[in-house]
Amino acid sequence: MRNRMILLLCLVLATALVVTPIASAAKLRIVSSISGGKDPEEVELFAKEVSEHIGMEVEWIRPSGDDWLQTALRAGERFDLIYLNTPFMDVLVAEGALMPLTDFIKNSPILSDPDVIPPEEWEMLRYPDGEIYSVFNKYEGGTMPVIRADWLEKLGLDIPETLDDFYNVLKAFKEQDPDGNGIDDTYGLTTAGLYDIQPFMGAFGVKQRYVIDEQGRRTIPYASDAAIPGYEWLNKLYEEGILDPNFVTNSTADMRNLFLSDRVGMNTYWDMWVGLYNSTRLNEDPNTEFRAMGIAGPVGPNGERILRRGDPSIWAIPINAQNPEGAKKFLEFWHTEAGIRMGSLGVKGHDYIEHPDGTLELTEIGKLHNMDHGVPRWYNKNVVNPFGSLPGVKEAEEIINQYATLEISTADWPRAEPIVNEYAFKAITGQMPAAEAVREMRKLLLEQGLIDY
Amino acid sequence: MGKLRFRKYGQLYLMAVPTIIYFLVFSVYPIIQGLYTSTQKPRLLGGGVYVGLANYREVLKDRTFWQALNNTLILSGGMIALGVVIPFIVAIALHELPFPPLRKLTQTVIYTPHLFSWVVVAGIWIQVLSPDRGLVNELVKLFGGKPIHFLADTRWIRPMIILLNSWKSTGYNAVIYYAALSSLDPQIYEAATVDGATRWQKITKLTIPLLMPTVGVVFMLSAVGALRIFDQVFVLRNVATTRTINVLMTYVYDLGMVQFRLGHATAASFLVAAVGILTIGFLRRSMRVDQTDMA
Repeated sequence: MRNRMILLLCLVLATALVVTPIASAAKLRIVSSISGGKDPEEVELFAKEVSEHIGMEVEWIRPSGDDWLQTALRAGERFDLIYLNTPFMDVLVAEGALMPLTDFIKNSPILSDPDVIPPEEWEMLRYPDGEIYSVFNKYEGGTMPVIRADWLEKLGLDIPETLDDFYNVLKAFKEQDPDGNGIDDTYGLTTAGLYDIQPFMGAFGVKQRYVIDEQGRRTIPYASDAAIPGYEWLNKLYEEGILDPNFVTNSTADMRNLFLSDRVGMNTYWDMWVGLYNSTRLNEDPNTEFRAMGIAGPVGPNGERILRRGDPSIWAIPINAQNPEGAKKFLEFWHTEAGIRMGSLGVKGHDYIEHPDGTLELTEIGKLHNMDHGVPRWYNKNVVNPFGSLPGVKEAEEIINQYATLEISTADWPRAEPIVNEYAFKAITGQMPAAEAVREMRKLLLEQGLIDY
Repeated sequence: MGKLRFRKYGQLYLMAVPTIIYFLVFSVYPIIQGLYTSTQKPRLLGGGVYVGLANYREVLKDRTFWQALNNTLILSGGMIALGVVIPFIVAIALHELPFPPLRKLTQTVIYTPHLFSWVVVAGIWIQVLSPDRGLVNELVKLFGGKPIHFLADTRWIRPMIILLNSWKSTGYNAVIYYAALSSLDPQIYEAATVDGATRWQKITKLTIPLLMPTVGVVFMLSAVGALRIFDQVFVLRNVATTRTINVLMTYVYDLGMVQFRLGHATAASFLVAAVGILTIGFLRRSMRVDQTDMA
């Protein structure tokens, strides 16, 4: 009897030992501070629907930012899939902390399909060792000047092309009461800090962040003499009250609010936001005259324009993931129609409803969430937005595709950035002549070994 | 002898055990772990490579560290000076107020900013100091001046942080002074009145000297707090002013959380702790706070 009891106990223990890892392996732990539900309740609904699609239990963790992920990883937490920006990915790749996905992508019928993700796009994610360690979350757009097209029409102005055109339009926005309230309360241009003056600096052939020449020597064009007239032009706007004086302390939310509340005629922001601006105002008032439009930056003397393409936002699998196969299954799902529908529209029955005839309708919550649950736009050409794209986005996207390029960051950029920003700001606000500011900026960057020439 | 002592005090030692365990777990262990990390090049997913004192050497060679130390000393100096003097004047003024209800109301109003988080304080003052419709700049314009971007101009940002810190902490420090004032023996003042002392003489010859031990305490408290400033700089810094107001604690944060260099960040935080201990030790010795307290 006693022996039987011992045998039974051993069997139970053995079963538990075998079953527990299987059960835990079937669970997929995903961390994303961007994609997924918008609030704790929706995060749960989101995880539930993803579980149903990929056939395994999903725990979806939505922290407030990257700090949380970094702390959790250092504390020994294990995740199967993490959402990253490229600087964070660079660190993890350098430490050998991410699983190479090159073969998986090559062999995946979904991810290797050129209609799902254009082959050339993968090169953005390839490291010098030839490996790809991540998969795109969404199609990234770029930043560009977004202008009040209705104000242009009202004041009888054309879309600006040259720097002089831009100056005249922005000055008119400041001085000619474009909102018609009879009060001198408008500005021509606003930004959030020096994010993003690239369209204007681009007219002088100057690119933000690093440029690396063929010999591998690094420089920062914003610290070169070519940038001086760019700062002087912006300083002119500042001195004449055309540039919002709060541009340095503005958050991106402040900047958006100024644009949406008729206080400013132009800001520099994501192409996607052209549509979000328009839909926000249309939702408030279907008869609004408000019309945001994305335009190319001023053309340079050699006909060039430079806009900024956004760094890719990506998914990666840590090497200590317990369910890497589940993570790969999710990555494929995320780029299918069902996955894209979740990443854009959200949760079925919560953000949208599907009628018996197959047509979709956004709920009030879905309207508030603006068809963005991490994937407002996608690469997959086979998937059409059932509601069409937001007004103005398609045209803005074409401009971005034509002129926007990725910026080059190095590990030194976080140290170089405060120096560049401080002196650029001093030049723009007239605390220092632009030539002197550039000289000081360059001197400091050279002294600290942050540029080579 | 030892056994006898243990028998006599055993229960007391036993009662101290939870506290000792608490300190071992939450203070001693993290410090040892931190020292270990500061000698490593840690990996995000655990483990690391031993690098000896290289992290310390690199931090000490980093100009940004010295700039942060310089900023910390300048901001701390200003904060300590205002944090000691202004509440002192406020407390004496409060004490001299003849109507208790007015005294209480003033005390409450002055103390209220201390209850706000720095996020709220920054929100309020960004609005008040804004060059676009901000109260202060509207006044500047009224008198024919040109708007000043107080929080984005490197010439203004340090004084602004010191003043805002003073605005927030005056009420708290004034309460400490006021408590000390209230505990002064009234008979001394009565004797001074009999001797014909004026109100001003009572303040300068009695109140101020009698409050000096409390001044020492407030000075020490302000000094300890000033070396650890983080919140106010974190919420008020922007692209234009980062280098002018970055302090040691934000330097450590940037190293660890923005640049992912945890080994360097830990080494830097031990250097910051060393600066703090040395400074406080020097101040204690030169001010003889312990002795004055006992006196």
